[in-house]
Amino acid sequence: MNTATTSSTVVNEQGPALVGGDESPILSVKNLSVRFQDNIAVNDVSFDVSPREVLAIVGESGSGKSVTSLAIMRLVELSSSGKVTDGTMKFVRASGDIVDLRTAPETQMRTIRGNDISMIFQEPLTSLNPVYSVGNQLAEVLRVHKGMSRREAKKGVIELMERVRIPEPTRRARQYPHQMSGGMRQRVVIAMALACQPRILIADEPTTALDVTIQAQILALLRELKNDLDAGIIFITHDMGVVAEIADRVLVMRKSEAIETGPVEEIFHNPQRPYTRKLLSAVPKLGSMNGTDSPALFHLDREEAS
Amino acid sequence: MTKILEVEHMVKGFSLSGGMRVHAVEDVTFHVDKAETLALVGESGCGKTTVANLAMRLQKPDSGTISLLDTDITELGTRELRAHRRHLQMIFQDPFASLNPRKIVGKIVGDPMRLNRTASNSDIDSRVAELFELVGLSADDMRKYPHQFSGGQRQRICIARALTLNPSLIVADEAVSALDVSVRATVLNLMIELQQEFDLSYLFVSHDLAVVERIAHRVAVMYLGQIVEMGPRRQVFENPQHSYTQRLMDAAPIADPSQRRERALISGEIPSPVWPEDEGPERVTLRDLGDGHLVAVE
Ligand SMILES: Nc1ncnc2c1ncn2[C@@H]1O[C@H](COP(=O)(O)OP(=O)(O)OP(=O)(O)O)[C@@H](O)[C@H]1O
Ligand SMILES: Nc1ncnc2c1ncn2[C@@H]1O[C@H](COP(=O)(O)OP(=O)(O)OP(=O)(O)O)[C@@H](O)[C@H]1O
Ligand SMILES: [Mg+2]
Ligand SMILES: [Mg+2]
Repeated sequence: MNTATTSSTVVNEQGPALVGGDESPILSVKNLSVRFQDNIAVNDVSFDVSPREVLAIVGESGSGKSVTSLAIMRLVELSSSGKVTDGTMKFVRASGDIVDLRTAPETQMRTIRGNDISMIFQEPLTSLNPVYSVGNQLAEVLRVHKGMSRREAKKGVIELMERVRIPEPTRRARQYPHQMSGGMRQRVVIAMALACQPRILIADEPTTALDVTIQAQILALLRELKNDLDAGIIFITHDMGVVAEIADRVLVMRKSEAIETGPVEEIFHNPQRPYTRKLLSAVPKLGSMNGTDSPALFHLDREEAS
Repeated sequence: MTKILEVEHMVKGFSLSGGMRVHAVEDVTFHVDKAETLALVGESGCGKTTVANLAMRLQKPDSGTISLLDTDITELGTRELRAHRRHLQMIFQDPFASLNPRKIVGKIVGDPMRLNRTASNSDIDSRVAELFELVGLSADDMRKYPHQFSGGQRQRICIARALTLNPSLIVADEAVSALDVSVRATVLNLMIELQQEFDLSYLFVSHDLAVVERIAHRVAVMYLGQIVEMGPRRQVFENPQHSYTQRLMDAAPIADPSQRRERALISGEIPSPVWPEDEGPERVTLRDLGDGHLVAVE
């Protein structure tokens, strides 16, 4: 890997420098700030997402990754203390119209949410209704977002469940969320988001509960979605293996700020910020314990001042 | 070696519509020694959480026995179990669902101590504050409600709660999956240190093989409700014998974009633990390769 070129950018005081995609973005977030009372959850964050691009957001737990995506969905204000205090979020609709997701009227947001922009939430149980079967919930999505009839939706549900590798889909469709394993629930939620055929998909830790083989399937499905629909994907994850596998660009967050952004190869092979380096060096590598019998402490890299 | 947990021929199924049954756990036998970590890995839906719930006696097995510290707890009722629960803590796969939304988290973490009357109120508060710091939260966070935290912060609250009573065994179900690598390393180091200091045992369910490799003494690989390979971590990782274990190792993603692999969509039949009521899967026979390395005959 050639390390002489540095197109990975350190975000500085003059405002974030962005490495643009080669196409005009579908979503352009600029100077986004979010507060919960006196807690600044997101501070001056900017990024673009272009068609067929996967932007991975990585970083510290509690650094504002999920709140950033809630802001895009305009769900921050659902919490009584939450408020978007600054910034614009320009979204290009299929019609070509540009709307600012921060100020768009709620009626318009309702047509955007779940249709143009859909989200896989971090905790799958929170987006499933415990009193309806998963088949019912998937069918509802197909009827509302794709205008399917009851009959068509029933068939569509089985197809969707097969695509996310849920065995015995006909029987499983009748199960309630609590009767499925954690990873199956996660896959139901992914299937719902895929069914919406969005222009932007926000996936918040979509593969945390999945084993590596099913994870690979989900990544392949997401890749197919973006290529077929020219969609953009925001992929929030702690799993650097997944980032390496699917991301085109990476945004690193820490303490509510975006501290570094760039193409995935640059971030992995030529990280600029101490925190990014620390994050990458803490990734355990399979095989690193070869030749030993007992568990071993992780080596914790002390971070130099950033 | 003292066995903390011993599970023998445990079976658990769930009925589905149309006379079908999920064979979630099918004749599973294993033990966890004192001061030992046994990791449980396997495909999504293969029965790991069900094994964890059964070991905690949150569910009752259809057959088989579960012993905790040499006491058979298979048949105990809720009241009798209470005395044993103190030695046994669980970190649930879904943190949000396992935290009471109406309680501040300082109280949630301190409650096990209050219930067991092991300390005075001020001692409890300072112990909780200490635990918060250990998992990378601040003592100020104790007054907040669960919804005011991020996913990874909630997971750390669950970890802190499991540690309050100095249990003998912690059943950790995907307990660190929502943590960034650096916080995760801190929390796992804490778990290893507590093990060394207090002889704690862990039943550690995870799909992250690189984490399992670090923390486990022994590993059990489950497939469709059954253990297909089990043994010392070194043997299972360096010399995997079962075809499913080998596939699992090969599919692990590599954290390097220049080694990206194109993966095709899989289609076709999906292996399933669902059977008609009067049928069931063929039970595997485990062969001992020495040193406690067991492999299902294929
Ligand atoms: N509803 C809320 N009320 C108050 N504070 C909140 C709320 N939601 C989030 N926060 C705070 O905002 C900050 C950012 O949270 P966010 O959920 O975006 O983190 P994250 O980067 O997604 O972390 P994780 O990787 O752990 O999921 C955290 O400090 C969190 O405590
Ligand atoms: N209460 C229940 N009713 C019906 N079926 C259930 C119930 N609980 C679990 N199952 C089924 O038992 C099987 C094993 O589920 P379990 O949650 O143990 O899997 P797991 O290995 O933990 O998977 P994951 O990695 O996805 O969390 C699944 O097929 C699941 O649908
Ligand atoms: Mg989050
Ligand atoms: Mg599970």
